Amino acid sequence: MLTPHHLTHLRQDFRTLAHIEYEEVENELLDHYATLTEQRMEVGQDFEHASANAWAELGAGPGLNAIQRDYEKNIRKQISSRHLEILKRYFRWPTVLTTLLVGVLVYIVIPVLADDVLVLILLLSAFIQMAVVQYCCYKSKELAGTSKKIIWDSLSYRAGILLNSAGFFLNMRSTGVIFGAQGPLQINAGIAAILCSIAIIYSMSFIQLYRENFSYKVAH
Amino acid sequence: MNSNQQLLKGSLSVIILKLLEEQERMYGYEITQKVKALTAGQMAITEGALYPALHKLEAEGLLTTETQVVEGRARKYYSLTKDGHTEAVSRISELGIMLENLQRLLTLKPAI
Repeated sequence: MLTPHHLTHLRQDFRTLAHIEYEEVENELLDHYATLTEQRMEVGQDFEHASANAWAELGAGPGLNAIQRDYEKNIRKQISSRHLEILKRYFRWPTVLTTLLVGVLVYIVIPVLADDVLVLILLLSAFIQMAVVQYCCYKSKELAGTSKKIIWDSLSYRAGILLNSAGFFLNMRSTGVIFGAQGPLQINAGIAAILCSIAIIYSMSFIQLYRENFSYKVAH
Repeated sequence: MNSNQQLLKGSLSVIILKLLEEQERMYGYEITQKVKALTAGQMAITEGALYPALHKLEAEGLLTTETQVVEGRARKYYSLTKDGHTEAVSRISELGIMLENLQRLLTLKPAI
């Protein structure tokens, strides 16, 4: 049986040689690594040789890092498909009625707003959905440390795309590259309304993910 | 990768489901050893193929996990969910039919 000191040594190998950063992956592989090492020690090898041979059998740094990348990809894929599933629900009957009503309301309200207020509302709605992601991930104590990091990164990336789109639109508008601030009101209002509606839908979907404790598994 | 390993990779999920159907719960190392023992060392599952396959099956909701501390370290046990049992039966049957057909094709005698 390996001592706590041996286990710390093996754990260090994961961190320094294979750059394993997720605790779940590290714990699972540590058990495998330790068992392989113990097996070799039982046939007379010393700890150094046994662990070196076990490390090679495990696939060494690149092989283990590939397992971590796959784990990361897997969680990203799951959270992405769960998020997409939630978004699709807003366009299914009967929820689509509420979505349409909100969209129409936004489209009616935005053109009557003063230009400064429109900019403020657009920026605010884009920032709010980003803030919702940050708050929900921060508050979610149910999430294991490392999965939380992957989910947080993944959702922040999505929220960031919308935030950047709003920024890009406002920038194009103010510099007059595509259509100036004095440009066709309907186009400006239309794009702003679409961005605001997406921001509202995104905020709602992030809240729903939080309420589900980010249980991203496809099936339960 | 030799042809044996290529064949193994294609049917890895079925092998895992079958083993977990036979044994209630297993951990990673145990699965690799079981395959080695059952095939008298002819087939070996690499860790790089096993863990992604286990994580994928878990994501599909076919496997569930529980972690226990054994000899000072965390050990993750995998077992079949209800859906996993159903899927195991179906995938094993599909693979069985495919192997039967393959066998027929491989033993085909040339027409005279």
